[in-house]
Amino acid sequence: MKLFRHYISGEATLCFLAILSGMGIISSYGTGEGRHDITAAFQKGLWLSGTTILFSLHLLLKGVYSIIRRDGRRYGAAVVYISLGIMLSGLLFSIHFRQTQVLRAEESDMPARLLIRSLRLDMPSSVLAVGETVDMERVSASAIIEDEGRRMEVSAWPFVNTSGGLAHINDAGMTPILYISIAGKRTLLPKIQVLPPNRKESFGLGNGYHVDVSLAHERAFRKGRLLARSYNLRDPSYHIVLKKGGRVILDRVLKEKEQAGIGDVSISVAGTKKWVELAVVKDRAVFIIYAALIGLALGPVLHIADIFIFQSGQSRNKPI
Amino acid sequence: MALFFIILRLGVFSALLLLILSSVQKDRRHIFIAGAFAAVLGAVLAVVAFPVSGPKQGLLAAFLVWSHLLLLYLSMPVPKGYFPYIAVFFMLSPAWFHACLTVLDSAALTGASAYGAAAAGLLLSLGTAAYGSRPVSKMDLSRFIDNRSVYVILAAIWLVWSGAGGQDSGRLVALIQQTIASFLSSFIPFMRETLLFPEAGSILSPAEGPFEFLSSERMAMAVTAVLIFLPPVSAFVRLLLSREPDVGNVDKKAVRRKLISIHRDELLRRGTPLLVSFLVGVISLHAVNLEARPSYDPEPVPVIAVGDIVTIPLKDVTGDISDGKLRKYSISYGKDTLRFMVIMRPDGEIAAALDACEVCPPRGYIQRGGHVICTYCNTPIAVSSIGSPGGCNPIPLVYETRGDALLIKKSEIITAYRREAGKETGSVLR
Repeated sequence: MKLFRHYISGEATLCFLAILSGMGIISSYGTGEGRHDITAAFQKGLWLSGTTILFSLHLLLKGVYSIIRRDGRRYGAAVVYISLGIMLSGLLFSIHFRQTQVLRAEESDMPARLLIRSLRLDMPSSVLAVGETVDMERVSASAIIEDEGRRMEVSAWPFVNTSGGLAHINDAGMTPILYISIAGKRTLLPKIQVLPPNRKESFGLGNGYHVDVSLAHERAFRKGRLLARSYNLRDPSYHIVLKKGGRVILDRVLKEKEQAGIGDVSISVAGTKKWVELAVVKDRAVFIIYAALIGLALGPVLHIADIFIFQSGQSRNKPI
Repeated sequence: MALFFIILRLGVFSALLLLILSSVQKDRRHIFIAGAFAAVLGAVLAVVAFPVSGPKQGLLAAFLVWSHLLLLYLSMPVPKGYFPYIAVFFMLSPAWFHACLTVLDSAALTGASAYGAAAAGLLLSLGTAAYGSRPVSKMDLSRFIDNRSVYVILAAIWLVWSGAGGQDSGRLVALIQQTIASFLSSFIPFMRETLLFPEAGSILSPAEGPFEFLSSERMAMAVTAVLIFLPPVSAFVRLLLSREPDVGNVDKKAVRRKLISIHRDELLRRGTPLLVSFLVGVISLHAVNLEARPSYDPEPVPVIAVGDIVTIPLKDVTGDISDGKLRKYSISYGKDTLRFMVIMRPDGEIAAALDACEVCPPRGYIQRGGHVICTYCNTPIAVSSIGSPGGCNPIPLVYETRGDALLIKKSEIITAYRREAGKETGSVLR
C-alpha cells in the first residue's frame, strides 16, 4: 500500500514528467552522435514507451484514487488525470499500431475496395505568387465513395468509417494529361502534380529527350519592386519546355486541347484531371484520443464549477 | 575551457541552491550538500568515463541530471498544491539539459582532458560552497523564505544566473521559449495527424487556424509566460490568503495590534522575494523578446535636392528597398535638417513619410519587426499603415517613381512639415 501511494503521489508525477521531458529533450536535441528523431525513438526503443505506459497508468490510478479518496468531491482534477492517462495510452497505441494507406485516385478509380463515384473540387479561380511566397486559396474537396455497396460522402474532416478503416481526404489537386509523340510513337506522360505554383516537374523521355512541366501564370505585374504572378487554376495553362541533350528545342505555353511540335516531336495537352488523395487509417485509438480531449476540456470546467458553484453553496449551508 | 566554465557554473549554482535550502531547513543541511554534490560528481564522471550513444545516452543523461534536481526537491516537504512547482521544474529543465548536453558533447570531444577540467570546476564550486556556507548558514533566511516560495526564488536566481559564462551563453528564457516552440512545432502536427486532420497540402482543412496558432511562436511565448509567472503569482496569492492570527481571546488591545502587526510584517517580508522574483521574470521575458525582435534605427543618409527634386535610389549600398527595412534620409533647409523615411510595406507599395507625426515632438521612429515605434510615445505603428495620415502615424509624403528611383519634391517635404506638424521649421528635426 505504501508503494502504491508513492506510485500515485505528486512526487511520482514530477519524476515521470522529469524523466519523460528529459528523454524527450535529449532525444530531439541529441548529444554528439546520439541525435535522433523523437518519434523514431518511441517506435524503436522500449525506454520511452515503457516510461510512458507507467506514466499513463500512474495518471489513471491517481485519477481513480482521487475520486475515491475525495468522497465524491472535486471531480475536475480526477477527470483531467484520467483523460491525460487515456490520451497518452491512445497516442502510444496509435504510434505503434496505426496502419495508414494513402490512395491517390481520380474519378471512377477504384483504389482497393473504395470506389470513388464522384469527386468535387472547388479550385480557386486565381492564386497569386509574389516572389517565393504563394498567397493561395486552398482547394475544397469532397468525394462520394462506395464501400461494399454503401455510399458515403468523404471530405477533409470529419473522417468516415469504412470497411477499410477511417477515411478522409488528405490532399487534392489536378494533373495535366500530357501526350508526347516522338517519331510517331505516342506516350502518356506520368501523372504530375502541378499545384502549387512555382513548382516544376521534370521527366526524362529517353533518347536524350527531357521535358519540364510547370503551371504557367496568366499575368505578371509589379507591386512596388516586387513581381507578382497570377495563376488560374480553373482553366490552367501549362509551361512546357522540351530539351534534347540539355538544349531547349521547344518552349511553349499550352492550354487544354492545344498542341505544339517541332520536327518529329509533338506535345499535346489532352485535358486536366482532378485527383484526390484519400487516407484510410486503421486506428481505433483515434476515438479514445478524441474522448480524452473532451475530458481534458471538461476537467477544468468541472473544477471551476466545483469551486464557485458547489462549494460556495455548501459553505452557505454551513452553520456559522 | 568551456567545460570548466560549465561545470563551475553548475557547481556554483548547486552551491547557491544548497545554501538557501540549508538555511531554510537547517537540520537537513548535510544531506543536501552531500546528495547534490554526489549527483553532480556522479553525472560528470559517469558521462566522461562511460560514454554511451543513442537512447541509452539520453536516458543516462536524463536520469543523472534529474536525479540531482529530484534529490533536492524530494528532500523538501512538498506543500499542498504542487502544480506551480511543476512549472518551476519545467522552467529549470531546459537550462539544465542544455548545460548537460554541452557537457556530454564536450566530454565526447575532449576525451581524457575533460577529467581535469571537470575536476577543477567541481573543486572550485565545492570550495565556494564550503567557504560560502559558513556565513550564510548563520543567517535566518526562513524569516523571508518558506517552503512555498523557495522554488520560486531559486528559479528567479537561475533566471538571472543563466548565461553567465562558457559556451552556454544563451538566456534561460530564450532557451525555454525555444524548447517549447520546438516541442509545439513537432507535437501539434503529430496531434493533427493523429486526429486525422489533413496535413495542409493544398487542401482546405478545418481548424487550420487553431492548429497553426497552437504551433506558433506566439503560443510558445504565451506558455513561457505562464510557466514563468504562475509560480510567483500562485505563491503570492496563497500568502495573501493566509489568515490573520486569531486575537479574539487576547484581552489587551495593544497586544492584539502587535500580533496583527507582526503578522503583516511577516507577510511583507515573505512577499517581497516573491514580488522580486515576479519582476525578474517580467524583465527576463521582456528582454528576451526584445532581443528576438531587435530595434532598428538607421542613421539618416544626407541627400540634396537638384532643383526641387530629391532623388532616392531604390537600390543602394545598403541593399534593395524590397528588404522591408526602414531607410532614413535627411535634407538641409536653411539652418535646419529635416528627416524623412522610406520603407516598402508588406503589400509591396513604397511609403514615404516624415520621420515625425502630427501629435508628438519630432523624435522619430525606430523599426521593430512589422512595426515602427514612435520614440517619444512608444506607440507601435504597423508598417502596412505607413502612408496613411492621422494619429501617431508618420506624416505621409507624396512621391513619384522613375526607373529605380523615388522622386520627392523638397518643397513637399517642407510643406508637409509645416502643414501637418503645425510646426515652424525653426524646430530642428535632427
